[in-house]
Amino acid sequence: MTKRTSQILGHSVLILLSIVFFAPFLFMVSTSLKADQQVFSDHIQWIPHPIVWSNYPEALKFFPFLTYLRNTLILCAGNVIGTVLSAALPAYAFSRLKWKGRDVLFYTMIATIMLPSQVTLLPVFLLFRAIGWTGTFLPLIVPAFFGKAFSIFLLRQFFLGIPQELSDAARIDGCSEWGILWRIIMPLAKPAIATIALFSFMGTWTDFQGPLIYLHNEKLYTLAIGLNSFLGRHGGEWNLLMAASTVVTVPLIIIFFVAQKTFVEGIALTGRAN
Amino acid sequence: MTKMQFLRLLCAALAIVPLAGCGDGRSTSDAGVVHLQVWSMWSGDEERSFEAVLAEYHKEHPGVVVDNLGAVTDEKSVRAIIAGAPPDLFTITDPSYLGTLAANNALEPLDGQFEAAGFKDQDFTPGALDECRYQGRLYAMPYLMDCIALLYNKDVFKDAGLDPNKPPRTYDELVEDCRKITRRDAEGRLTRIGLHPVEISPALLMSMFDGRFIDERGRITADDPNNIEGVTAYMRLMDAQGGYPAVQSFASGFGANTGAFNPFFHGDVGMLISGEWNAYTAFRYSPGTHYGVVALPYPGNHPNRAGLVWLADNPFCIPRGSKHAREAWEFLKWTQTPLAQKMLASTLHNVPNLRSELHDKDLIADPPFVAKSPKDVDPNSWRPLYGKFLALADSPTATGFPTMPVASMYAKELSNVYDSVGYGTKKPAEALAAIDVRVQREMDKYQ
Amino acid sequence: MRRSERRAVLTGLMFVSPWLIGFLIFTLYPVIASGYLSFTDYRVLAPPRWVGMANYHSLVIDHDYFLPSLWDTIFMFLELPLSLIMGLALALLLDQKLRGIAVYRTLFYLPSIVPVVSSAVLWMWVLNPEHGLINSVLHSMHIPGPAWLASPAWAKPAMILMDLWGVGGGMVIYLAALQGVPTSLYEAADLDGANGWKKIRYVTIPSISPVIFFNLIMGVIGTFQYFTQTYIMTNGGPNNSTLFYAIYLYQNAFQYFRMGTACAMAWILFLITLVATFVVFKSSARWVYYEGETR
Repeated sequence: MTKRTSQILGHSVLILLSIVFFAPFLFMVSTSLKADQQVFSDHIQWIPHPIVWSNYPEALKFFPFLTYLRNTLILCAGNVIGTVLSAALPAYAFSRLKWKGRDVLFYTMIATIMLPSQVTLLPVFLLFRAIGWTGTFLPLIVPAFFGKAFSIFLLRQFFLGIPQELSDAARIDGCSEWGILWRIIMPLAKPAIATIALFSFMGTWTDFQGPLIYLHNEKLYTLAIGLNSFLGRHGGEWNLLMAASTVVTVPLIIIFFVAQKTFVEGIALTGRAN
Repeated sequence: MTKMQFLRLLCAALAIVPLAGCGDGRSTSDAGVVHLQVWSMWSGDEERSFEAVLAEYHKEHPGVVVDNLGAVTDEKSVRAIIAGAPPDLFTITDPSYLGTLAANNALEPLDGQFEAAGFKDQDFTPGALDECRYQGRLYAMPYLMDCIALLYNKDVFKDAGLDPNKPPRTYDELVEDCRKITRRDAEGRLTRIGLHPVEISPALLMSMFDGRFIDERGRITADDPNNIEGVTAYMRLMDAQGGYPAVQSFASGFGANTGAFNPFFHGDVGMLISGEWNAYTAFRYSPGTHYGVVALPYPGNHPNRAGLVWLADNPFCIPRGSKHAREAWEFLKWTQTPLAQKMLASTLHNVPNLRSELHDKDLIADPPFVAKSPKDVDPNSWRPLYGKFLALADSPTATGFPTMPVASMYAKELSNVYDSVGYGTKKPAEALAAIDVRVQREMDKYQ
Repeated sequence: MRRSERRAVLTGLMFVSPWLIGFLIFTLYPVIASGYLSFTDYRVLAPPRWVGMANYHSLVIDHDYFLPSLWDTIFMFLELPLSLIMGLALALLLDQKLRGIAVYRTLFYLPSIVPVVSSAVLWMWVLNPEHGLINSVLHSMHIPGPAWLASPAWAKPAMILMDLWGVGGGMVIYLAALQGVPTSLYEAADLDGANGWKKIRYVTIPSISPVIFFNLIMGVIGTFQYFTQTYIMTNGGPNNSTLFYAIYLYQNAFQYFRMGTACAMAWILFLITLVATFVVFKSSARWVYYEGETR
């Protein structure tokens, strides 16, 4: 197969797949602009007639959008910072240090992910209640500062791919482990850090259960709860739900689009191409 | 990054924490005003309707402010009760939880207050209070309820050659009408069916056949012969419109929140067993269509079931440990006044649980409407159909699922019966006998 | 312990302390509590009552719910190889410096950005047997479309399809990993005359094997805990064909007030997952290559 043919094939596959991945999103936007009676129709209607732009302001008035947005951003900021800071240290210890008991603790950490959260929910809730944190953001932010196993695991795998020579050379130069972590390893792991930051952000942004469990004041509610409010007990405001979802999704799309550089090109090339 | 930089970043991050430590928002009283904390299931527009009611209460009782927390799930309420920090008052989304909560002493009994307020059972919609009682004691007050009956599309009836003013009264008539309404396309796929299956819970169906779920001694009777008869008859109806799998495929897809997606509002289904809120939904999604509503059909061999409608309350409970049990009861007492009932019923489109309100002209009559433009739809045109539901609710046969500690599990087990019979896994008697054993085992734990 | 060994342990523990402290406070106690509760009849609103192995026993002989839920969940493992391969393939395709490639990457990650409640509704429409997107396309080609979520036979494949739509998450992780493959290795392979596929097989995959390993482990754990979409869309039906383990666990814990049974289910799941991941870990010695490992 010539280079040109394989390129065309590659592109065709990509375009076809993109359509598949994009179609439901397109449907979301299309539904967001439909009038009540036309939300469901016998035949797929991609372009609404009439286009009801007013669904958007109406959707944003349905729940306190700006308040919920602010709350969600606070939670996301806290979680992202906490996750990144608290994942770096354990990941380093599990990958680039050698010490007795390391592997036992590592496997224990992996094991903690295996227990479904439904059964730890209640004891954890009672714990937070005992220290008086229910009704605040604290149960939703503070645990992030104590290391999320998912992020530690991922970062550890990345760290394991960085050659030992770099650490050894630094140690010979008298650098402390702390120094090696922050001055050598972390800069090389930018894509990995960006990844765990992204997953932490997305996880918090979409978290519905957590805020619902711990918040007792509607002024503290988040976007995920807000989106759910479109579903009433008997039927829902589908077009408004799709409008609100679009508003909530589009900024994330832009952020991801712009921040791609960090995932894909954010690695220092010194020390790699040797 | 140096240690100093790291510590500085950490401090910056922790600075968010005080922001996060915004308190509970639950002050109980300031300067003589009592804050009553109520947790309710509603959100969005429905929540706003409820809050308008609360504002009205405050106008009439300036010393009390009712603070509402919406979007509350039953789990959240249960958790708060276990943690010893319940709200003062809360709604139960799934009425079948009432039995469990009552059996575990989580709720304040209200019999004393009920009598002292001068309430009598006859003042209430038939069956409304049964759902709030467990072993004879009252544990909740209803504030509006759902009433499920048989909705039918008159235009579809006409098209199928049926008399639009003669909806089916008996079960056999129902099956026949379904057969006549059902249509297929050239490739044999269903294009229209008689009865949409989505909200016909097995418990409702069994009730149509005078089935029983529990006997006087408190033993589970899932395999009561009438229950089995009901399920068998249901399959017969499904067969009349193409068989259970085909009907499920036709009617499926949108979970419990059918609303706009329900093919009933698009003329693809002739009849719907569903509740009064659909009077408003029908008006929203298909304002030009003609609908009617009638009581659930009764089987020829169970004529005592004539006039049956199926009920589901919105129970309001006072948990044990409520800090303002007295004020909570005063509020509940107020919800049983015509004004309170009317206010919420006309915006939530639910059925009042106060008997006198079932015939309130303000709720059911069509006030005069002047169209300002040809495209204007009368915003009150849902009321007459809604009013018919209210009239049907005033029926001595009206009933709901009995309260018991295992009601939630029982209802869920029953809801699986259709699938296991319809897809051929089990026969009705077999399926129900298995449920009987399992639920009885759970029930025994409560003796 | 020699002094240097002790120092190493101390350093290790210090670095691990954020996680370790959190583990001791937020995880260990709930884990032990749930273990204890699994041997009790705990109906949440009343104190627990010791019943020994009764919960475990009644689960293991339950042919109506527990065993089907286990089988339904194991079926979903069919998805794991598909999503691993798809995620990797997409990442490889999108790792190029072409114009507009950023658009493609965003498009494929899009499903992870769309809120779950909206994507559930979207997919219920896409899979609607009558008017949904997929069946409309099939009908226009005169192919009878299956009843998807309304069919006991097709409901699980439908959920796999929906899950594969979310493969962008894995793709992002692979993209990040691909950045760490030394260009020197590719240059050496070029010198040896290796073509595209050989380079992928002998350079790329071994280099990112630690991350493939990560996705595999998380995939195994995640498959056993599959919950949210099902809860919104099918809630276990039709005919218990999508009664996944986590759904039945949830029903026991919160709807049936049988927290003791739920905890027993959780611990059975925990043990199964432990065995499964242990197998993967052991096999990893043979195919996972760590360039920077301290052994």
